[in-house]
Amino acid sequence: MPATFLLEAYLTGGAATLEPLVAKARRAAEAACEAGVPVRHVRTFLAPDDEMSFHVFQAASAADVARAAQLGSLDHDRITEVIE
Amino acid sequence: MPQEIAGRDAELELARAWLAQPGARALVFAGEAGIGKTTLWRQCVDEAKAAGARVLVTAPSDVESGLPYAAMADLFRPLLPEMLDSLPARQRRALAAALVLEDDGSTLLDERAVAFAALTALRETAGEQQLVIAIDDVQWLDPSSALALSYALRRVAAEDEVRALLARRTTDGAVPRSVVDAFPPEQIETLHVGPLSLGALHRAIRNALGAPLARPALVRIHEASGGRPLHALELARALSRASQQALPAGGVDELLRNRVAALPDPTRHALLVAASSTDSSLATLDALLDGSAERALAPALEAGLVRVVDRTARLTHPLLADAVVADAGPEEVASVHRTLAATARTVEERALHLARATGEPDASIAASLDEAVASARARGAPSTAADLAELAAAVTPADDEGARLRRVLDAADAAFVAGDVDRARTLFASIAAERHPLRYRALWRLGVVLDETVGADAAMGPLLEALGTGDQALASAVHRSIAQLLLFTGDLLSALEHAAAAVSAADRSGAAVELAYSLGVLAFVRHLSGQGDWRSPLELALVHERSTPLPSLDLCPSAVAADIYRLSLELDRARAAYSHLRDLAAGQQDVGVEAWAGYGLAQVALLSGRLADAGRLAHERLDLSEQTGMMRLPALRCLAHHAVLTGDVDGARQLLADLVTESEELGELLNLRGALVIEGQLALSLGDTTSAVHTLRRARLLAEQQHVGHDSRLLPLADEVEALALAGKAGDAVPLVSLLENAQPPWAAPLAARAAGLVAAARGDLAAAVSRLRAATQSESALPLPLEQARSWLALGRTLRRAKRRGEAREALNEALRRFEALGVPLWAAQAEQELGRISGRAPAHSGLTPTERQVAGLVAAGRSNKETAAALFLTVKTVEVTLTRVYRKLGVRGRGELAARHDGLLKQ
Repeated sequence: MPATFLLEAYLTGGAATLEPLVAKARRAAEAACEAGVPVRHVRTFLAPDDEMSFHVFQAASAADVARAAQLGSLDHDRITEVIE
Repeated sequence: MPQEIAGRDAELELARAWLAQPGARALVFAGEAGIGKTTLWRQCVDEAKAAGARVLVTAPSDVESGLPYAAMADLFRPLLPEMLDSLPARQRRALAAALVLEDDGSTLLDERAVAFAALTALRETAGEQQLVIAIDDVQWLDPSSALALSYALRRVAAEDEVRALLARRTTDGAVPRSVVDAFPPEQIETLHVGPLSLGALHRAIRNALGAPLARPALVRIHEASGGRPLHALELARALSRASQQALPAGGVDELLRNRVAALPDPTRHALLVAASSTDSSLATLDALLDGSAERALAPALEAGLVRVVDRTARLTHPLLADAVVADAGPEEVASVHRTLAATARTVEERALHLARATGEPDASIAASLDEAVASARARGAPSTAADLAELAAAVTPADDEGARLRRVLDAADAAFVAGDVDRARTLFASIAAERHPLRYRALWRLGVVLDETVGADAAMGPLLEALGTGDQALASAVHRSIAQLLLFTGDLLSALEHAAAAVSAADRSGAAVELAYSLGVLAFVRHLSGQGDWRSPLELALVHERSTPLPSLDLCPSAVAADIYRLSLELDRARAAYSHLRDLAAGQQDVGVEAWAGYGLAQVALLSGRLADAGRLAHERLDLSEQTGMMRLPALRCLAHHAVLTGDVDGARQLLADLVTESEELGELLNLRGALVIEGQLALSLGDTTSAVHTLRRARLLAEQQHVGHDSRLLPLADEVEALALAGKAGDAVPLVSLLENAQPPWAAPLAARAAGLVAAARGDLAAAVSRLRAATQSESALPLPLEQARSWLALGRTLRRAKRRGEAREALNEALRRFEALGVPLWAAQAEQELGRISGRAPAHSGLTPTERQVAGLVAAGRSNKETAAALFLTVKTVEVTLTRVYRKLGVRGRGELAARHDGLLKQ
């Protein structure tokens, strides 16, 4: 049964828009799936004042989310399991 | 490879753009303690080095801010000894003495000499490479380094490619702005380094500690640290070690103290030594720790509390030094400072450590600080001397009030020399309010400060009160100050009384120094007022000067003698006196007096008609003023006067326009008056009498307003009379002629005769005019100014021509022309030629070329370039070009070749 994970990332370079980050997160998930690691991107949101982005993924484990992030060059600072 | 610094992308991008920008001058990272300025600054230092720049680095600490030239020694250390060897001898000695590399035996180094040497050192070092002066924590820069560096940085040209990279702590007490303000505001790029965002802080913590934080902890850390990364890291470390999640109540201070306390004793001791010492190089620490510095520091290195950069131990957190000291306790701190005092390299360092070894008053420590004050003054660091003197006063035992007040007085004197007049005034006033004999000395000094900063009225009260002293040497000095003040306000009779009283008091005191100065001032006042014999006191003053070392060359007998001789037109003696003074000043590294004496020599050369010497001296004055920032306006005046005399009309007009503008902007009314006098002379020599009248009148009114000495007004007065007479305003000239006729000096008589003659001529009484003008030429030996003598002949010739006495007129005008040509003053020569032309109706000789035009034509026809011609004749290249255009037009030629051919023909004629 997949669990839900929150990936927190510092927004390097300052202000960012949502769409490119969403696209990046989706590509990360796709890359993981292609590599045989099932990961689904759920949503992405920003906290611009904190210079942070938050991505919600569903996967079997935090390690799978980390693998997806690595494959998708999605920089991150923390991955924690959350309950929706 | 440039490193990433979390949260600082924007700052790094701006900093890199600055590094790459040609002609960029200063970049300042400004922000609170712990905000990460040093990290950014260090990254820029590394990137500048990687880009091929030569980078001189210093990171002064609080401890070093009390030592003279500590930062400059740091900066220049990698350049020694080659840098010193490249300096001219005088500058090398000044810099070596300031940096305590050599003891040249100077009793008092002028800080301007050190600053001047620093400027030359930077220029020599810049050479082919870009030079970056990198200073971290610029708020701790010692005042003497700040002064010298700001002086030097302000004067390096853009093409020298010297720039400054600074980090400055804000909100932490007073920040010495002098280095930052060395550059014009538009050349300073300031990057305000602000707090990190939550995300950036998280990234910084993760990079440093390798593990992320839960959001609640991150938020608390962000709040507690205010977004300051160094503080946040400490808090994050504490949370990662603690079992509870609460942050310590004492914040980062408490955390750092706990971390220090957890270290082994030898490590804590080594950290205390490093934090307390002005030199935390591993070599020095090894010497202080019996060779065990690296071993002792190892745990602190591992804990990230210290890092080693360029073999120097540096604490990693700005609050760590306080934590180390608090942990050690007062006894250990005192012991370390006593050890550091025993191994100190300089008197100042030793005294500071002794003072820090105890917070209690201690007579021997105060005495050590007295030595440090003297040493700092001798090294040209008066601001540091003032700080040390105040510290000495603070540690003086309560039962020795006299010593305490004396030290406060020393601090005030040093502050005044350093230009901190507010501090000096406050300190002097505090002593003046005490019931102690020293108050009289303080009143005197307060009066001097008030005279310079507020005005004579404010100064007189304290000065008169200071005369209540029973100390005759002091009374003499006070009377002298009052005499000088009254000279300026124009009350010559009262000045005379006080000057005489100064001599009497000096005599009673038996103090040879006071006697030397007082006799000199008496001579000066008698000369200016025309009352009494001035030669005897002056000669006596010079005798005393030869046998008594004087503490200052300002208003010393030689300086007084030089001025008196110049004003009396005893020009040979004046030249000898100024030369002697210049040599004395050079020997004492007194750049100010040296510049002043050089200016006097230039003026004497101009008056004597030695125009080649005058041109050379005037250019030397300007060069020196551009290098030192001193006496620029007088240097420009010399050049302008020379340009007027040598007929460089365009050059003179440009110089005068600059002079008038700058003088008006700076409120330098004496220099403005000097410029107007020269402008009036230019107009007169061009025959523009309307401009001459207007300009010389304005100069006269300024002279009256500024209480310019009477004798100094006479030559411009004579010019004004001539302008008025030639402009048909003889009536306005009559009162001015009276002033000349009633003037004291014997050399005024020929001037007065000429002036009276010109007025008579203007009124149509040609017979009387000729009579007065002949008298002027016949008494010319009383007026040892060759140009003025020649002008009298011109005036006579002109008047004889009007009287239709052609033969006599021709004789007088030829005499004038011969003299003008011998002097090399083409504008006046042209006037004589014109008058001669009016007698005979013939065109002037030499195809209408003026003497300057003939000189330029001759050199160019002989194959010299415009630049070579300009150098040979002390003209600007532009003036040579303009003159050449006129020559071509007059001779009807089109170029250098035709000029050469035509010139040969002219010579044959």
